[in-house]
Amino acid sequence: MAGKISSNLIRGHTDTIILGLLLEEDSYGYAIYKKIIEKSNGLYELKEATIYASFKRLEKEGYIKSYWGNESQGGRRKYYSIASQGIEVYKENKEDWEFTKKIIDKLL
Amino acid sequence: MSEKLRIYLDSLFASYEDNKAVKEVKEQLFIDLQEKLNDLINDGYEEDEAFNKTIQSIGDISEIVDISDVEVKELQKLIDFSKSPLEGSDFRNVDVVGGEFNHSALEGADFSFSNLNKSSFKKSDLRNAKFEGTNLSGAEIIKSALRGASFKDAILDNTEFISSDLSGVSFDNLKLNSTVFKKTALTGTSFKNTVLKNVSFKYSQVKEADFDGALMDKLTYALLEGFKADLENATVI
Repeated sequence: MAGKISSNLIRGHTDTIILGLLLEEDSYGYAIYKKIIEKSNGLYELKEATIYASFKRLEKEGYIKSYWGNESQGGRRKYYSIASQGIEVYKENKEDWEFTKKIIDKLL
Repeated sequence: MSEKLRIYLDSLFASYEDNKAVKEVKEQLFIDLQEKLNDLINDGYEEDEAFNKTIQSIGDISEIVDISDVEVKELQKLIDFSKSPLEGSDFRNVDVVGGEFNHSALEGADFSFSNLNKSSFKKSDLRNAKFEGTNLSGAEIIKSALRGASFKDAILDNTEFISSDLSGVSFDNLKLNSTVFKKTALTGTSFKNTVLKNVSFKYSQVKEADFDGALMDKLTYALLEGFKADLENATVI
């Protein structure tokens, strides 16, 4: 595949990407990490630190909620689920992206 | 293998151990990385290779630390405003060397041109307080809210700001000698044309601060650079 991913371009969409994945199902750090690699066919890797920074941001804004899992061994895991406000923001950001994409495609 | 991972994470997070929010992320990361390590070993990777691949997926942990201003919000809840309601008080030109202002509600208080040498402010509400021309050298300001405070012409030599919210505060044109900013929220904090000598910024949000036209010694510069501050328009003296 020709071309490379501009990390600057994609960085602005990190939060939206994570909201989109949480829309599918509740999840946690490493599951999100794997999902992104899988969905991008191995072309993009979002580092764990970036994912957790995004979780914190989104939770602070009230876009996602967290709860403790009930694993009995190996430490308790924190799960994240999308909040109704987060669903709104996701839809809005996705629309904005579709719109922007159309324009950029015309201009480049 | 899991032990090796624990040791690696301990060293990576060593300097953030007393930050609760960061510590929690570290624990979650540990569970994540163990799972990745197991996945890789099940995929047939040799242990060392699996370990290296695992730690490469961590990325830059300073990203997580930047979000820790949550802490500052938490401490604002701790302020007990009942202990000393001194909002809007006038402390102009007073001499209170070594004064102690703990749990004090001092929003909008005016300390202009007073001498607060070696004074201490703990868990105090100092939002919009005026420290214009105030001598705060050797003073310590801990777990306090300082949004909107003004420090025009203040003397801040050896002053320590610890675990405090300094968002939006201007330190423009000041000369800072051995001033300490530790665990401070610095979103929109400005150091325009400020002279910084031997100033420390441990665990502070320097990325969000403005250093346009700032002059600083090599040590301060290197430190800020390490914390990824924007130093494009700063100069080493």
